[in-house]
Amino acid sequence: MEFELRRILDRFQLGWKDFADLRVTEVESTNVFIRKGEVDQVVNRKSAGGAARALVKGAWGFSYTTDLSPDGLSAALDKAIRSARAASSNTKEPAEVYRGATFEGRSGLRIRVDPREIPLEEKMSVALRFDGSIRSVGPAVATTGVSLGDAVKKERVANSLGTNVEYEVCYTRLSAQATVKEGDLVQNVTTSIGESRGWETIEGYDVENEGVKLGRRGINILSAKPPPSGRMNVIMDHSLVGVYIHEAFGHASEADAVKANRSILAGKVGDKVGSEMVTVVDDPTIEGARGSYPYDSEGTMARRRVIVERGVLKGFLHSLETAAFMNVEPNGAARAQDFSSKPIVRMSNTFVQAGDMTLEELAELIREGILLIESYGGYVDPARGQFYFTAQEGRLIRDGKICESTQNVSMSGLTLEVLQKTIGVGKEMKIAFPGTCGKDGQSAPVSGGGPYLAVRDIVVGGRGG
Amino acid sequence: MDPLDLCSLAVKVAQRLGATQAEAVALFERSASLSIERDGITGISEGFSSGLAVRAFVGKSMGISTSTPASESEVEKVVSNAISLARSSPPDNGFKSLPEPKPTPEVPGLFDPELEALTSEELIGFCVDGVEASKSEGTVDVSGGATVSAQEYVVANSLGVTLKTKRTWLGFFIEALAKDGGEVSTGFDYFLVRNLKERNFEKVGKEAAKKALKALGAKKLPSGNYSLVLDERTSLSTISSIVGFGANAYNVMLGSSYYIGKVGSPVASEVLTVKDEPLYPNGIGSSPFDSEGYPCSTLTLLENGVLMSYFTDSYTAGVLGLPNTGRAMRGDLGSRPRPGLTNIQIGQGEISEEELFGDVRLGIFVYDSQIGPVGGSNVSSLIDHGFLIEEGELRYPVKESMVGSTVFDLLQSVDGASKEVLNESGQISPKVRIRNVRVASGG
Repeated sequence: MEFELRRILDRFQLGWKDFADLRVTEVESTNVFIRKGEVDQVVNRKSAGGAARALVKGAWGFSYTTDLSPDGLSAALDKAIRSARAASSNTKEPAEVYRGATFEGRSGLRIRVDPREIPLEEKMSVALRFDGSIRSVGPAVATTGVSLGDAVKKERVANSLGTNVEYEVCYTRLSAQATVKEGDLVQNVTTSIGESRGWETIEGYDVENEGVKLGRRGINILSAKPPPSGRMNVIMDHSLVGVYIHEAFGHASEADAVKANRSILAGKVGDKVGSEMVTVVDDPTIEGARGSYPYDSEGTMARRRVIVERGVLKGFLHSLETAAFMNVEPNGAARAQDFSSKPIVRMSNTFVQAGDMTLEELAELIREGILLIESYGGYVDPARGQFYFTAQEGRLIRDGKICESTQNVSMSGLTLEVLQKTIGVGKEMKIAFPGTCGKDGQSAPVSGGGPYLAVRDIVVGGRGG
Repeated sequence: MDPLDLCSLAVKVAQRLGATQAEAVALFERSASLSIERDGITGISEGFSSGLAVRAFVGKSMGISTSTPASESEVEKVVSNAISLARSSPPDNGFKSLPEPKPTPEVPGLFDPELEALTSEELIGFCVDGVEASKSEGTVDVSGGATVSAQEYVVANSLGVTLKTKRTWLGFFIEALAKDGGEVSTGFDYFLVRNLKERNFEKVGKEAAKKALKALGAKKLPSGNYSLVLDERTSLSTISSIVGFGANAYNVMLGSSYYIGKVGSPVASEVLTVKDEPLYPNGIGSSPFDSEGYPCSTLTLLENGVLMSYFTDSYTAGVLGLPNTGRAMRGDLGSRPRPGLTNIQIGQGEISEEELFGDVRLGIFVYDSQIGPVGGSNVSSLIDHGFLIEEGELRYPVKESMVGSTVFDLLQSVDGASKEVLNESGQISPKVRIRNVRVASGG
């Protein structure tokens, strides 16, 4: 296995504008799932495979295989080259890759406790205690689910320009869901912690306390008001801001969408797209954050990227292809879900930078509206810039004061309007949403966060008047 | 090694190593996909992958282990890993048994040798036709993609189940983008079929372009109460998301379903009759047996608005004391099976499409969207694509509009369905009208 991918690449002759790369990905994961106090399933997954890409006459060919011998990978690359040639006959705008940067290096696991060394019994015990503490708050908790997963991924990438990297990353995540029920009303609440660290992620988490908090949050929603409906001023908490900025702005700043003419932000670098209070950053180099990694799946070293600085659009997230298209340096945002997937441009840890206001000051600022709490996910159509995201609960704001609770509700907005409508930024920044982002059928671990954010005129889709 | 022999071997090894029951499943898949960006082909992907998953039981304790690739050399390791996980796990008292072998029905049309033999060059030709058809409708920018796949799925268990099914599918989608000054609109269309003969690349291209061009000039509406007319795809995704969660025996077992105790009671308007049909010839969700090897059969979920049945797999059937309806599905090869739906078929209504729209004084025609539950019984969804209806006529496209309701109110407010239905590879739906729905909007 430990042969050099470069030697295989050297077997192939490519034109001077052409390009090829090889990637070998091995993943081992364990997942424990508890439902309602019982071990539902314990799964161990192992996968290993190789991917070959070729860019010939401006078109891409991609092939994958589970034969990791030099001949197996060579055959995959040969197939990728043939596919690229076939595709090139119908390419309208030939693609290129950025040729000005290559990367060499190794990055090992940066973890304190390897989760693979933790006995299964201990993993089950943690998950069962978490589950039990949620249910301990009362019988209105109809059901619970706790998932504890860890995965170690090792990836090697080499390309025809000279890049040759190898890295390992470990993901550990603990998440819980509680369903509360009273009559016909059913509500879900969730919480999770997830990092690119080892078992230390779990060691630092107080499952008993967090479980009780989650259960109580659920019970509280049962007596909450139906969510309101209409255009209103909102304050979002750290978790909501993470998903909001991911959906409202992050996807539209992925340069593959921009290149494909599928982003509302195309052609707007340098334009003022938001209030001067808003700075948005995507940073895969934050030590231990869930969306962090040392190299991307093209072998480019990851780097911090500022998307919006004081309201002005500064740049996009790039792959080697989109960097060449826009004549900028690649910034390591091309990620592949697994060996059978192509690298595509993805976010990592996306957040809004802190401002200077307290939550009470933000409530005073908006006067009437709703405080939205804890994200439940979202999606966006980046071409039109229309996005959607969901909060698990809300608190009505009346006369500048945070008042009673409301049930879960979703919101929508338009990318080019919302950052302009930001009227206040909180002073405490937290990465609070360790999630998984889906795009083009691929999943990627990401996180998001920010300070409390006050935004006017968001459409809230509740059923109240 | 033949996939069925591989799974049979895994089951035998599991029994030898001490499993009291065992199941092995394998998926072998060859696929090719093609991507389209800005009217041109940007690349082709091709590959072959295989996976093996073993579920081993020691008494009532279960462990699952998987390997990619699926190869004979991995069998011993995967099996012993699954057994070791089972031995470390506490018993699951809900577990009764894996399914026993039973005769399975024939479902024609799931595998098409012509599709399996399709070359990249032929696929390119079809996609180019689709793009050109799109461009013939007006000035649009076309992105999209096509995928062709041939799969062999195998399941074997220690009670004697040994089954395999071969399936092919071809999918094609186009997203057309239209611009007018600074304004942007999109239109989307697709097909997903089991047989090459059912392809229609040009129709997808044309429909996507027409939708994008018509959607220019979108406006925000005032918030208020509107009638909704859902197109067939939105009707199907909306009703299947609501009924698919509520009638799922797993959610009933957990206590999280909003349909607990409601079998035999009305949960929707009497206009709605919904069945799940896994035996539909050529159906995209069709299969002779479920992912545990239990035979599939037709199931009525709603009849004139009355909830008729939950849908189960072997585990939930055992726990709830219900018949196994053969709906076991796996999210991925290594996941424990859960109940899932196959081909949803919503019964046709009694009025024409013209009447369905004609009776609407103020409403929204919702298309290519899903109005569904958000973490429980509340409905709070974005209308991804819609048109204002005034006095029965479509006026202009709308944006930033959201529906707020509950799973009960929404389906009980259905007051009409069209006589005409759309049948997409066994997924069948009419257009459906819902009265007096709360809509929040940015206007």
